[in-house]
Amino acid sequence: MKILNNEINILKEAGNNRMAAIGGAIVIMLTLIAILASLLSPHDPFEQKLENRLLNPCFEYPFGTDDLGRCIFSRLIFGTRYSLAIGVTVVGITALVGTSLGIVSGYSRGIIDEIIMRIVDIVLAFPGIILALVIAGILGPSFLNVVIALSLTHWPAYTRLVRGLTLTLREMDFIEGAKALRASNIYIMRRHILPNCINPIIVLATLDIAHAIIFATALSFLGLGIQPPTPEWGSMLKAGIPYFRISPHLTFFPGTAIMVTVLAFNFLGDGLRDMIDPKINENILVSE
Amino acid sequence: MLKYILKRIFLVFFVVIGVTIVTFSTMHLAPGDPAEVIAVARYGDDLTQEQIDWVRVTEGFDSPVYIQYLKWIKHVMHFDLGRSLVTSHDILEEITIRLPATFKLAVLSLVISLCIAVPVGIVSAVKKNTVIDHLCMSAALLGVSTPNFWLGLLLIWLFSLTLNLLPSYGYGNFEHLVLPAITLGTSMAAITTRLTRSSMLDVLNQEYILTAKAKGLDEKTILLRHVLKNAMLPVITFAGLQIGFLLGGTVIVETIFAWPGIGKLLVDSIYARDFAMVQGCVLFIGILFAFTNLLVDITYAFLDPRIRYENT
Repeated sequence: MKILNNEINILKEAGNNRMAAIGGAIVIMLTLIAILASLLSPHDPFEQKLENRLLNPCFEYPFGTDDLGRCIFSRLIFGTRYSLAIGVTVVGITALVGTSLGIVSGYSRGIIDEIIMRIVDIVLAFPGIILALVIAGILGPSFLNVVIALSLTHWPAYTRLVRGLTLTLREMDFIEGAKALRASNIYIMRRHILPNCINPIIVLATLDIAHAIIFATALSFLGLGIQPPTPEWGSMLKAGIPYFRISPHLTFFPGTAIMVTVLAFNFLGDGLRDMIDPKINENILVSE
Repeated sequence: MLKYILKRIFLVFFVVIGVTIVTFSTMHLAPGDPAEVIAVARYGDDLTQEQIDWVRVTEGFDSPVYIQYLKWIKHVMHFDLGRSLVTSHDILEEITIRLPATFKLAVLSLVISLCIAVPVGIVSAVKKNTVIDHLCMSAALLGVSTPNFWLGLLLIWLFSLTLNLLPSYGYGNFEHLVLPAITLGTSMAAITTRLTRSSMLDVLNQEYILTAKAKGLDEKTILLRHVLKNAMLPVITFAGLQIGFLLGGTVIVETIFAWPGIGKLLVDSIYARDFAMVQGCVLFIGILFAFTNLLVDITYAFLDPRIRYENT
């Protein structure tokens, strides 16, 4: 019976690596676009030309113009910077903090573990975007506040993952060996446990960038994130809604940009997961 | 099993206390003096020092924080969440009025997502590495990558503006519910499909499936009697995660479609800087989420014999 066949399917491996390759290529491209934004954009993203408002896509304005006559193509190019910056910053902070707490929690067990895990429970007690929404809403809309709101709500995923891995690792013989050699706890955590957790962390971080970008654009879309006139995709989408009927391109292009970026990171993350360790439980990595 | 359930209940109790602390802190997170924030919401921007002091005394902001917290908890325990800073409506009453709208949206979305996700996930796992599987998984990945506010707008564009089939916003009859529920349901389905598939594949690799096969059972019996039953357990465990996704999603979907549920109430209160109402909504959603998770855990305990017979 075909479905009960346990052997590794080479075709699947190739397919997944191809996924990672496609995802990776798009991510590299987006990074280049973000860096070279001022060279690549044909117009100034802030320049308003009211005589050119709401133009459909044409030769001079590939993606048309918005309600203030700004070039949507140029604004999208500059928008790459904000989404990538938020994604990378949030994931950088949360991966660092979450991983440290996870290792300490799993390695020390006892009361410290108990305290950290209860804090994790409490943060996860608020569903999805709600806590981030409220934090951003109360702090007020700005780039920094979006990063704060997302960082405060995203770290528990790493802590849970790393704690679980640490609990298994600490029972292994090589840790016993290190202890017998009188290595300090910090040394064991840093040199023996962390390197063994790093692959799943990379996978989670890649998928989490996608997640952070969705959340950040959602906050801007609700008007609680980055504010106009900043060319951020979520706020561009919001600004296009009043013109949705007559000029759907105002919302269509930013929406597609968000989707493609998120898809690229998900591709890369999924591909990496299957390449690095197919045994990583997918459940842990499905976004919370 | 009793031990397991009691442990869960204890944990929920703990989480609820945590939720109240976080919710209470949100008020103090606001930049500036909370008394001033409330005074602005109540009297407008033209404030005198007397008005701020008056708010400080009447709202009890002059006492230490833990006293304020205990006072607040006492009110909450008596189902008194206070009054809106803007409309001075009773907060709990306002939430209860909005609850049916959110409930309708959530239930229909859940039904839609399960109707899509479970069959697709099963087919995908059974036809692993075929064209069908790749198509289903690509669609699921696309679904995971599509923010629900964007999906909602696309559906409005297609069904309301272009085809003129369904209303794009509002509340009333079933027609109004269709687009919001499809938006939320399909984006949830994407996650659940991936879960169902991976869970099915896990079970297919178990030795008891090999045993069943060795016994000479036919494929259909194995799938229905052995695989499906076990594969659904993790999917149920993650129902908690799904409900979280659902509650978070309602906030955005309700805002796009002007669906008058709790999510829209929360967002509108944030816009109006009505922090008392925000506090009430967050507390309500947090507690609701904690208890649905408890319910999921208990259901799981009943369904999984490994837990059912533990410590009995």
